[in-house]
Amino acid sequence: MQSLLDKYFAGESSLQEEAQLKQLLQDEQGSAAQQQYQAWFQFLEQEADIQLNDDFDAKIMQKIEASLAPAPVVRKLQTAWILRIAAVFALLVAGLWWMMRSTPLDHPLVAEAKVIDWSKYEPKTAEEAYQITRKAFRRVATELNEGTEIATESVGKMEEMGRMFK
Amino acid sequence: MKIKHFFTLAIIALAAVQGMAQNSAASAIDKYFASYVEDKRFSVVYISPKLFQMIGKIDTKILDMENDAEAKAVLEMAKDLQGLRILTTDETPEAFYKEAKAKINTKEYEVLMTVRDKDGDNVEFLIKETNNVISELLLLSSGDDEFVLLSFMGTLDLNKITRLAKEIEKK
Repeated sequence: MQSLLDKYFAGESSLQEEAQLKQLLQDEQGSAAQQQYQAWFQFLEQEADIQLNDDFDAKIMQKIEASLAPAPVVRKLQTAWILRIAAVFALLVAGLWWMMRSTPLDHPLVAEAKVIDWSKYEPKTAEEAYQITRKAFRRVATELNEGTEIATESVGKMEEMGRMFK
Repeated sequence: MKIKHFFTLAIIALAAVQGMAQNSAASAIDKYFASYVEDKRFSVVYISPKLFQMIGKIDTKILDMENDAEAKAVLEMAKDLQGLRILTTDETPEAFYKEAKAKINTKEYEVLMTVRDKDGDNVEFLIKETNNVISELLLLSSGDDEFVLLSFMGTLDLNKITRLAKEIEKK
């Protein structure tokens, strides 16, 4: 009897052994083992008797749909929202970082700029100022001329080369 | 709908921060080269808008400018200027040129022309442009003997500068 029980709960009993066990339990009315295990086998039998109704499928599908279908939609929306907000923040942070990086010297130097007293460096007379301005423009103009000259020269050279390769 | 608002807000916030970060009124020299101004190795000249006004009032006869096309062009251009800053030094021009180039924010200043000739002289023209109007022209130049930083502030007309350049070339 005990060895049959052990085998049964270990899931190793054959169908015959199981039937034998059931029989034994029924025969030993009032014994400790019978009291302990009878309820279990009764429960199994009851469960085996339960039949599905014809509309079971429809009902279960309804239940599944009711409980599952709306849920993922809601969750998706929420995650999408959070993702979007997160994306915006990420963009903001990235943008700020980029600006800080590209103009790291701005703030201290602008503050410093207010300290510069440019009037110290002004020429005394308009004539002097004119001469300086003229010089400055002359410089710009000559540099521009030189630049364009070199540019035209190089273009000329390139044209020559182009002709050579034709 | 709400998301749209959020994005709009974010863009406005970004624009605002960007606006604050850029002090458009300050010249490149104020921004990047303030330390040079105080540096004893540099000679500094500043022509204020007030002086430019005065230049405009100079009697052209006194300066014998009547038949001088170049002088006329200079006067014409001086009218538009809001300030001219010149910094020069004869010490380590090459090093200063390199440093200056590294300091300038290339997001704000656009390179108009870079010249490097055989003698190793470097020249770079930079402009600050907003809505197709040039508000600052910056000239960096280094040769064997000096480093020059020139900053013209004000609405500048490149055509006028080219005209002046041609005028000078004639001579």
